[in-house]
Amino acid sequence: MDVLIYGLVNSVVYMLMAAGFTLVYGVSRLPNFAHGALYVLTGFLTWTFVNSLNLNYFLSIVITLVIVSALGAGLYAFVLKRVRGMPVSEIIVSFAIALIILEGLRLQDIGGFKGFIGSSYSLPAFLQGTFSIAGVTLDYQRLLIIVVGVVVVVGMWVFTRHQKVGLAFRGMAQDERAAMMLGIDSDRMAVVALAVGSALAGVAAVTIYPLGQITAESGYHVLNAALAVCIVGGLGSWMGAILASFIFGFATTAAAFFGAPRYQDVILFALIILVLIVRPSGLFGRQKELEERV
Amino acid sequence: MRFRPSFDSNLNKVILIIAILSVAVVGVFLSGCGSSGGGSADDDALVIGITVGRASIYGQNSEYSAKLAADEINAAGGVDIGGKKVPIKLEIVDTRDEEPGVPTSDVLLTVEKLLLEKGVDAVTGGPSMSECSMALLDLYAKYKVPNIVASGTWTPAWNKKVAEDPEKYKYSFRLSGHVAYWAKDAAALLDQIKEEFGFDKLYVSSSDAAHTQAAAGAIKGLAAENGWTVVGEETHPMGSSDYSALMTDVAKSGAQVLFWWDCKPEVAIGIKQWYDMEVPAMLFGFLNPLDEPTGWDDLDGKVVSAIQFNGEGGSLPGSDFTPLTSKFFDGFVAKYDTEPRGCGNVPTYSAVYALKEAYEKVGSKDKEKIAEAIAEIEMVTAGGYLKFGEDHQAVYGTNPDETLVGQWLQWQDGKRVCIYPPAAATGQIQLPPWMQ
Repeated sequence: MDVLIYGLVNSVVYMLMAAGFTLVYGVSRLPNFAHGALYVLTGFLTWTFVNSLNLNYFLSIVITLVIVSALGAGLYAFVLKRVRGMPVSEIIVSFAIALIILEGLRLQDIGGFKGFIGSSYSLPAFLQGTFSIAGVTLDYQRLLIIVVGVVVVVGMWVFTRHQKVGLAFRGMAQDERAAMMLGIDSDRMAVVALAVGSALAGVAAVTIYPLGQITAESGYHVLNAALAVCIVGGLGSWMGAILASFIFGFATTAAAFFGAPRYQDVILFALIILVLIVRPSGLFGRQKELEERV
Repeated sequence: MRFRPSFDSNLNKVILIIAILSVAVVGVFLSGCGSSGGGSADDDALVIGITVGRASIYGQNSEYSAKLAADEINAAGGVDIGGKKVPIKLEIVDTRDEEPGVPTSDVLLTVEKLLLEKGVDAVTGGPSMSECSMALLDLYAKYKVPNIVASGTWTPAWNKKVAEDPEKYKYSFRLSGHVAYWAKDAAALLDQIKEEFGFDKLYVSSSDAAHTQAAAGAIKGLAAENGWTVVGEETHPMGSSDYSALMTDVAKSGAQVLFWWDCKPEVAIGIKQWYDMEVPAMLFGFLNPLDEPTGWDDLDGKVVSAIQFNGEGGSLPGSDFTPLTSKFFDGFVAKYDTEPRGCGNVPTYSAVYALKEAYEKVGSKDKEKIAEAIAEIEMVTAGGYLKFGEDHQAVYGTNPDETLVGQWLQWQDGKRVCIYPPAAATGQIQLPPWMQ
């Protein structure tokens, strides 16, 4: 039962971390390596609004999500647009931006800024306390993570099937050239995708950070998790990302509960290698197969 | 037809080049901003290199305390070298150790640059990473620069290496402690817990790193020798984000004490899970978030009763085991508006004072004589009584009148309370609320 419950929580954590990355890649074919940095930035901005400016927690979250969305949109409009279509350049540029953000957060003595260093930055849990299911103790914040995960998945499903922009997203994801012939502006959709993807990184951050603390280093962990989920699931595939999240979440939780916690990472990477050997494009990926057919 | 770039295209390139050059110039400018303390252009100043990883808490601790000591000394007139009072000038460099992906060779280059270009008379601070400090021993020996490691570097291999060739490494000293001292402290504290509460079942956990596993292994061995039964143990990956399996296993094992040695901030997740799941075992170990003076608020009070190794002694509120302990603590709070963390603060503060003592005793900047003077130092510091062993390691124990001491804290009512060693303790050990 422990494995089922905590496996579910950890699966949703993976899924939330990867959701924004998957969306952006699915719509614009851009691997946004600044995804983890935007996640961290959300945490520190919210912390700053709450603790330095004494703003209401929910208001701080809303303001932060707006800022991070705008940053994501700006990232495409002013930087990534220039290198779009050049995969190596896309990775280098977006990763450089990630480094600027993550290392910039730790700079000191510039304009009185002391740098976000140490273990003293955390966001309060939305709900305090614990409850028990079948003898397993779970805190309400983890329950909330599951709820937010469901809302994000259902929300994206509705958005991409019943909203004009969402339908344009699907069109772009299925065939960018055909979508453009039908009048969909590729650059505009990419801007919106980056904005929504960044907001999703932010939603993940404000939901997951209350479990522990905000650190700049966690940006690299989130990027790794998002990459692993998306590669195994099949780049750009929502269904693949969800499935990969559940595989990772349950595999690592089972390893921890069945006496092999130190091998969690080994199991994770072994799974990645295994899936890629069997299906080089990931579980729901199509690119490699199409290339091979051509 | 040959392609001819347009005026706009050339203009864009020029703008790009100017932008890149601007960023490079600003970067070089920022990286060079490292001098502090003294604020004097006096050529005779005692120049002390401070080698710290500025993005890590250990580096920040060292830097803050070095500045505090230098400011105090300069405010009191400076250092008396051969009858002339000279100010201390700090040359602070960012060694970037503890940052992901920074190799030891980069740290060595940074320190070598400091030694060659800044004309430092002595060096203290970090780096905190043991492998970096071990490698630096040879660099200091090559350039014959007196140095005192005062941040981290808790491996017993450091003093072993010095002891193997004392002539070669005669310029190097370590004022921070090492794991063998801390393991001994932990074993004594476990004995105290056993005596007070009748506990004898221990669970040992550590992250999957060589130094944390070595520490956990040492505790396990000492505890077993002292009559503890190790009912469970586990190792988890660095930076785990879920500790439910560990906490469930501890609860099922019947352990009364969970000894946990980890070094990543993600352990905050585990601390909260320990509290939320009301694991019936005292939490005891070395976990970064518990070292933060704001740890109680940061973790919503879920640190209650957690016992933490605070590093080298002298950084806890209420401590006055030497006349200089509260002077350091109060001075730190006044300067930085926050209480000091444990590791690296007091040793670096003391190291700057120890260098002052050595230079005043020698009366010149003769590096060989300075090294000899440091080896002979015996002085009261904020962290206890300082003297170095023949392996150039500062001697640590439990009596601050005779040696330096490490300190162990317990979070009680929102405060960090010293519970060990007895000579420095300001409170009694308490059980978690759900075990009372």
